[in-house]
Amino acid sequence: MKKQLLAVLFLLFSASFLFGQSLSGIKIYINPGHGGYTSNDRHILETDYWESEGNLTRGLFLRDILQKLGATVIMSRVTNTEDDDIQPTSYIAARANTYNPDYFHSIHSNATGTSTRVNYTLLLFQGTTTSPTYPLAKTMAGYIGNEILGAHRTTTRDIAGDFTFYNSTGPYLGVFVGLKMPGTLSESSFHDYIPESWRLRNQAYLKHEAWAIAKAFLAYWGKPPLTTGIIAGILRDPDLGVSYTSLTLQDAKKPVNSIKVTLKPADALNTMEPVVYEGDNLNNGFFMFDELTPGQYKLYYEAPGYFRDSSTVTVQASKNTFADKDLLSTVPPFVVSVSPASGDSIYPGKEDIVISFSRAMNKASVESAISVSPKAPLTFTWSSEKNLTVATAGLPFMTDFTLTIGAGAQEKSHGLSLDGNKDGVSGDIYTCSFRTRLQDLSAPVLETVYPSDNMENVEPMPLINISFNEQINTSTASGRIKLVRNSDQKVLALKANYLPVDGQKSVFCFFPVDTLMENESYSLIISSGIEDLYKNPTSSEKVYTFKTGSKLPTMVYIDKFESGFTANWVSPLTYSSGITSAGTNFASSSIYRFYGSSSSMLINYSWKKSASSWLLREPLIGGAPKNVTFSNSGILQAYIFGDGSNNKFRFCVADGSDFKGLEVSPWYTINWIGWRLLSWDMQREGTGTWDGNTSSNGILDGQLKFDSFQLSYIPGNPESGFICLDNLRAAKDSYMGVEEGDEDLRPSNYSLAQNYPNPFNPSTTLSYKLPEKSFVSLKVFDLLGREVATLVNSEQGAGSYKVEFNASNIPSGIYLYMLRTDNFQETKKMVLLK
Amino acid sequence: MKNFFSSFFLVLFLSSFIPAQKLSVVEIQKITDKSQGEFYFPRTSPDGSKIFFTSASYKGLWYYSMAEKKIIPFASEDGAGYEYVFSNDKSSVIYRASNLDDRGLRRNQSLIKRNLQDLQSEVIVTAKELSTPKVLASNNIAYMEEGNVILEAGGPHLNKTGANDMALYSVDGKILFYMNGTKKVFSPLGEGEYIWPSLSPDGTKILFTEVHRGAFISDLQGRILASLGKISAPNWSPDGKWITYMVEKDDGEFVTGSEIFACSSDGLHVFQLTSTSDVHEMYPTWSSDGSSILFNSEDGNIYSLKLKSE
Repeated sequence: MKKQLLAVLFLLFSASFLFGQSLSGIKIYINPGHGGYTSNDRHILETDYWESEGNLTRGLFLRDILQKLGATVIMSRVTNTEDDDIQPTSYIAARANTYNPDYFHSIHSNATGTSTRVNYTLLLFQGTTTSPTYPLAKTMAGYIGNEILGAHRTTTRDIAGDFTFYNSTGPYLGVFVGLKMPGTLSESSFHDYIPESWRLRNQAYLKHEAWAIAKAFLAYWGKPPLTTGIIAGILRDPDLGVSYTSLTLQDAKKPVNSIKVTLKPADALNTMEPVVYEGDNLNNGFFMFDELTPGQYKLYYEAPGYFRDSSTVTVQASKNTFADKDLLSTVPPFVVSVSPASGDSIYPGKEDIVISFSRAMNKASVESAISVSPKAPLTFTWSSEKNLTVATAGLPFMTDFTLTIGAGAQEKSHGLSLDGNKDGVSGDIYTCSFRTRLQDLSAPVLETVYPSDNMENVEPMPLINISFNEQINTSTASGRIKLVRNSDQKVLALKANYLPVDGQKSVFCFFPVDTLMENESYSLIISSGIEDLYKNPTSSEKVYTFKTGSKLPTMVYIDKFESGFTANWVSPLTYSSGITSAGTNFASSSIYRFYGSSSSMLINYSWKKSASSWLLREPLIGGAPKNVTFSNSGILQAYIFGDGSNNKFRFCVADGSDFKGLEVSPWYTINWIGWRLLSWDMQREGTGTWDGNTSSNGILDGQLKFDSFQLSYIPGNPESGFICLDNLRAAKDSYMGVEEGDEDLRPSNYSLAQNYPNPFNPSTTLSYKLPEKSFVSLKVFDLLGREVATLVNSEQGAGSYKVEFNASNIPSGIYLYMLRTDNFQETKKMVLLK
Repeated sequence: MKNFFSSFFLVLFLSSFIPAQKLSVVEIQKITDKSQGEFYFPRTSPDGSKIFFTSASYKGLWYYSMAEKKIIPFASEDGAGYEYVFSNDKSSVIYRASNLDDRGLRRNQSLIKRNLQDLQSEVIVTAKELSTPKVLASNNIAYMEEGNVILEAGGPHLNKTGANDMALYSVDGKILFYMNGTKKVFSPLGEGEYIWPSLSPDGTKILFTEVHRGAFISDLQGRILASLGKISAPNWSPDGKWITYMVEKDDGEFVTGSEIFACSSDGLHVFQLTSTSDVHEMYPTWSSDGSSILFNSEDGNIYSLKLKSE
């Protein structure tokens, strides 16, 4: 109590000494954004942070500081109830106008609203960035942005006019509309970045931001800077991580709760009483001391379960001095993990023993405490103070070992001995057992090859797929896999992609650089000498001869599974049966991506063995891919990365009136590893059966749309695994409308149709008709007349055309598309709404 | 061009009542394009020959001459475009100018009367802080100095108080109602934050907005006559039979749409006059003859919406 009183007295003393009335005569309107606890008040479930609450707290702190500086401050709200949530936002500006203030500032924090995590500072003002409604507001945005960046240590700061930031067609910030004084809006940091969200729950952290904004007001009006300074910091545990995404190495460490930080003058002769900060238990570890007279101070850090620590810091007027500290736990060190796990096996010389400790260790004490039985020579390499690699080259094959780490192993800072059994008490040993494996003397075995030997009618751009039963030293495969045209023995260039699968098997996928000739014989030659990881070479050459067929019809792409595709597909958990929810999901994969693509669709599956039937359905539910129609007499294809599980895969399409019917392809057994082009020739193969589905009659009625990928389980095969899919497409057939020369269906007039869908995100289809052959230009412009994209710029025959416009790289807004031919020109408008 | 705009703005009628009178849109004409300058908050001159507008920050005043079909600069001061008034003899515009230093701090404010014909200006008064001016029925110009007192009658510009002089001031979230030489705080809903007060053209009703409860019409004693809901920037028609206003959509932060509406002054008959997803129509006011509604888009174009009532 006495300390708290003294702390208050100290603050009062500082305040009376340090505060002038430098903002006297200035009237400032503060608008803490939002209000109340409803859906538009930005709640973060994980941290229970309400933006409406944080905005108000910052606003009240700012009010108090500005008033101490002599300003007249008007608050748009001082409580956080639903009644405080003023809507429409034009009311806020109109209300501020009645007070005739000199400046308006709205306080917010930010969120991406997506799974992306960022944490920067954003300051907005009305107008465009280059032509603000109030030029001084842009100046102020710079001051506030810099100060908040400095206080919150966000990654960067950005300032922008709201018309530029949100696009000239809106949305735009309502609080600026009709405002008759300069105004800014701060999005100080991102409350959906969880480490920041926890910090925003700390009152001192919010007050620190208020100081930052107050300092900006002083600079903005050319007033003297504060004569006092601030010490702030975060206490973290360097040995514990966090479960959520962290953008910095610091944020990856777990903040310490219930901290106590004591501030004393460094000068022993200074009689100032200590000031104590007691932290919260809200996972932020933050502390702050404000209104400090410049000079040197000592800080003493304490927290339950941690060693006491201290530091000396220097405070400068109007500056933030940061005194972050890693507090070290009093919990003794233990072994977090050992690879191989107890009872597991390793291949000597190829796989090492990796030991991970909970704390930074005294290396010498650890090395002298480690041994194996039977005794064998060990060599040590530390990848960090917590991670030790023990080389196994000296261990014999086919031997059972016990690894022991003695209690003499100590952590680095305080010499705490190892807690081998992890019971919280130092001084016991750690042991585990492992076995060395049989020496591998076998050459890698070819498992599957596509195209297979003597295969006919192979597509002229085949995806050559060669899988082995183990991983390959890829450098030994170089020059040993060739594709030869048999007629002239020409060796053809290949593009290659190598992928290990499930840590054991591996696969090479090749594409010819140039399309192969039709109806021609080729040989795939796999020479001897391809080695596994243990230097065992293949001994014989294998030759696979195949013959190409005719060219495929032109295809229309349904989905290339590039950036943003997941929005159009729904989770496989939604319509599936006989699966386990924990192991079944879908995602974008950049690892298993098809050659020339940046991502593919990854489906992880996990079957519930006890179920009586199994169907995983991965449906396409919206977006431009859902609008693509194709003929029931064509071919539906997708590149599929198989896992060799021998489980089943099939396509499903929607047909009939309003596409309400569903038909499936026959099942295909996933008996390959790596990429393969899977085709459903609908006319030749017909449909499969979908037991119990009344929407399915076995007949492909009329035009089709894609419905879903489907997987099923065959008992005895692996219960879990994955497949990847890329470049889903269908034979063009009637999709693109009329081919040149089809007189009967030739359009009678030029026309440019309204794009569909509209508004759209990110792609839309533009359709037009040409009654005669003409040079055609189809371009997209923004409202300033700047060309955004050229979609067509060539001569085309009479017919109906559809062109997809993908706007994933341009901002939301209104765009114009113009069709220009020799005798016709028309422009239409479309709305991109992201 | 006309066809473009008539298709550009869809017109909808939304009313569940059979109105005594019906409003419909004949056409919407763009008066100024943002390429000529971004203009906001349009109003017509009392004789209808000019459409006045200002910048987004209320700095300066311009007008569009209907006869000359061109934009003419009228005043350049900071704040000139905020709550300016026309003199009763229609010869002048009276506005408040803020004199700012280079950091945007207000040194003082002046009320300026500027003649529409010869552009001669007179400074009526200069003080640290002034209200915007009002023109009273008696031709007096009334204003408040530093939020304290309504000054009327005196000097060359302010004559003796007239019996029917009334003025409404919006100050610090309150409405101050000046009538026949006295002023009082006008709080028809009790405690609240009041904005956008205006007298009906016949001086018998008051239109106001309370930020938590929306817009209302009351009599001069504050008895509520009509509740208009959460509408923005409402304005009387010259005959006092109609109110025009905007309805915005926002998520508490971003405005995503705004449309122009009109309703009968009893609040019962509501007509949506614009419906566009890509243009935000805002801040409507009536033309002096009541035949049109002027408004601006958020990006600074000025439009005139011609009405038909039947």
